[in-house]
Amino acid sequence: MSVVALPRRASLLEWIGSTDHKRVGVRVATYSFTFFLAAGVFALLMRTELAQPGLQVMSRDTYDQLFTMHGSAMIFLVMTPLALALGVYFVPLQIGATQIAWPRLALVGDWLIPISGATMFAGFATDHGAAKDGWTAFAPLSDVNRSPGYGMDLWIVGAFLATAGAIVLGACVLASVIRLRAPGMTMLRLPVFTWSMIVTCLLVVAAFPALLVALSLLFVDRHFDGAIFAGAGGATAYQHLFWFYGHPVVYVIFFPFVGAVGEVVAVFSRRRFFGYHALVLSLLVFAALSMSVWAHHMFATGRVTNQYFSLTSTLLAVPAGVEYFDLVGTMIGGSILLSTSMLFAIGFILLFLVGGLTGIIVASPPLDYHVHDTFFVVGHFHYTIFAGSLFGFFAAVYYWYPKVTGRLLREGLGKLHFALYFVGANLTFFPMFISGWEGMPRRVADYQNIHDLSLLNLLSTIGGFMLALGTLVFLWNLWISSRRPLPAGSDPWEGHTLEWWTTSPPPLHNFDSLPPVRSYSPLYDRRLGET
Amino acid sequence: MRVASPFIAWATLLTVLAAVLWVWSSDHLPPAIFTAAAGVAWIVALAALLRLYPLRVGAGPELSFAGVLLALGIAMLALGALVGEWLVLIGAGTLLAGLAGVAVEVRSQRRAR
Amino acid sequence: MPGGLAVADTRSHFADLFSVYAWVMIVVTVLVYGAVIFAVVRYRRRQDEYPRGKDKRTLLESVYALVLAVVAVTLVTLTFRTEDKIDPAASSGGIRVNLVAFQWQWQFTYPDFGKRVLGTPERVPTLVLPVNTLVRFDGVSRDVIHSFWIPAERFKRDEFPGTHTKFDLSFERTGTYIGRCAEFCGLHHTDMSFFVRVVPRDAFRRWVQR
Repeated sequence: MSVVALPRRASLLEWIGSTDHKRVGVRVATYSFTFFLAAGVFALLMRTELAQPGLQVMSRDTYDQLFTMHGSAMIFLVMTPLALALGVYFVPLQIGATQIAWPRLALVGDWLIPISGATMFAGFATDHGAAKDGWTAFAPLSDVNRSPGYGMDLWIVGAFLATAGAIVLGACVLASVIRLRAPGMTMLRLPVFTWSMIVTCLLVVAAFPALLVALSLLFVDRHFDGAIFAGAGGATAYQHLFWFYGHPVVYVIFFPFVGAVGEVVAVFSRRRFFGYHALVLSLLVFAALSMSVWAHHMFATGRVTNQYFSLTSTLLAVPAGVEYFDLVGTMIGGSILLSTSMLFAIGFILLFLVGGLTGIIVASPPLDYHVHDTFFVVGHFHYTIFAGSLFGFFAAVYYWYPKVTGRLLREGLGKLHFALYFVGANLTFFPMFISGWEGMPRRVADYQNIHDLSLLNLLSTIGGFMLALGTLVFLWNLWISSRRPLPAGSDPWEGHTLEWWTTSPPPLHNFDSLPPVRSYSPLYDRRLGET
Repeated sequence: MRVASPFIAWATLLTVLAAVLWVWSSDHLPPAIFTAAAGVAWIVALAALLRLYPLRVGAGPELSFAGVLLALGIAMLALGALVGEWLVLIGAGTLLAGLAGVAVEVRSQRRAR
Repeated sequence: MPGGLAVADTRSHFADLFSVYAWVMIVVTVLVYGAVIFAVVRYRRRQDEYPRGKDKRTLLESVYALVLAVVAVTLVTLTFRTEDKIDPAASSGGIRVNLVAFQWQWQFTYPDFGKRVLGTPERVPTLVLPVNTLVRFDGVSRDVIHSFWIPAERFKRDEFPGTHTKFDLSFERTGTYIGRCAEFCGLHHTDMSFFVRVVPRDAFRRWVQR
């Protein structure tokens, strides 16, 4: 048995002030995951209320705060930071860099995010409670007369800081790719995950500033009587600014996970990623198109250029289809090992498809007129964000946890986690398609039992608790794996990319040496040369 | 492929999509927002093309409490807009302390090399 | 009755368009699920081997992308065609209904007949309409954004403060349908319901004269 040095515990000072991109990444992931647990509890409370018609456990006001904070936390404080945390940690490693570009700036962006979370959550302690206008905070509902109190203001400041932090982190990752690649690491030898982070960061720097503008103007309206969004066109203007951020952000929380799934699928199929060049091209097209589709959230307003936005939104199926072709093409002809990570990756492929196909429905205005702002849409975006992106995140966690900690997670518990999540996600989110179709609007604490809404909601609630159980299994896995560590070694999965060349966890400056880089899978090349 | 190529391609794609929206949309705001974003994409592309990155590899600090102060200062400034002038002042002070700290850190790094 | 102009209702337009989308969804799902299951079963690792295969099939993938684009453009074309039937608002004919949404009720007025229906917390408002008749809506909100949604009609439209929204509907079958506010509008959003009672034309005539 080889002796593997387990990581030394970091001191408190290192936890606060380290500019090492690996510490920054772990720090961001840690508090994002904490916010995930909190927002997950909110979801359980909502599902409990919705299990039966009528109001049983909370008031309408409380329910409004919970769905607002659930959505806001999941977008601003959980999925976006988690996506960027993966990039901050692994992009410098995958490109063979010793560190991230602008490490001090990355530290600033990192700390803005938990502060923003604390700010947003502080709303619960104020007189009127936390924000309660949904994560979209549409004007004029969010003006000072209709939404009085500090909760809304704290939400604005919190969302602003989180978005600013995300822009900073995105810029650091992007600059790293441009300037810090190792010798031989040309643009067309960058790993699939790194490419997914490039387009992610492009979206972050180009689309996120629109939200900063929207929030600033909203703040001026509330406190300096700006009346910017008060006029007839103001409400539409806010929606354009918001969705110009609000649609790209869902790709920011999709691309990194599709990239991670690509790595996982290639490694556990023992093949080079299939169709690499097509994937790179499709990512660039995907990211550009995804900047042009935002107003499909506004079809029901009757005030946007429906045809343009319907065309661009539906065309997203082309790059998305190319990615599916490449993922499945990597598996076909491979030698597939169904590890926990691979199971989550396959779960991602199967379940994201449901979210993607229902996305084509909402991209068609005549169909969207019916399902918009209903539980159908709630089901749709939870299939993409939960059953898609979060499954991709867990594929990444089971894949990269050994690299980050030097320890393996338990495979048995991991597979139990996957089973609970797979069944739970379908049980929770599939009935929502039907309940929305049959007439249940989103953002309601109560409903009438017509068209079996009662049964459908009960199923969703049972599924929600299965997901909670799955999360507990994962937490137990983390606990037991740290109490009784199984050393992982530097490359437990026969990885393809440079992060598996160095020790687990990597040393402060990442690499003591680098192998020659002649393709996008340098370690796989070496292994083939040896066998 | 040159480093800047994908970024130029991406900025071009955005520009084309924004241009089509200018033609298609009767409302000016949506294409205006899109054009601004395309502008940001061009800045990234030009920065990659002209290597406009003030970057010294190996110059990164391992610990930076000045960086933490900067984040706190920015957050207090933003919250100060809500809570009151006193927090704006404290935030500004923290920000200045952070900037001074960064200057000190950079100097001691230079000396160490 | 002023004008008896009937247009096909949105429900049937929706059904026609959706059936095409539904087939595409079913076919794609079967293909992808089939391919993934095939891969997992057929290429499951059984011995310690390193598969050798091509890393790309550019021609096949290009053809495939082209097929996807054709499917996408076809769907969008069908969508545009359906939209052309649903979106335009007629400037004459049929009957007019002015609707006002406010926190948290609806008011429907019939300018042609000088009639008004106003919802109260005790009484859900009922919009009475003649069957097979063009109904020209003119909607506005008095405060925040609301959305006028009739699930059975497969249609909703947002109501904004300050600017009016015009749209046409027509109902092919008599009956009572539920309507809801679909845009979150504050504390009592949940309760902002209304009924649509579609009646034969002569019954409608009697109702307006009452």
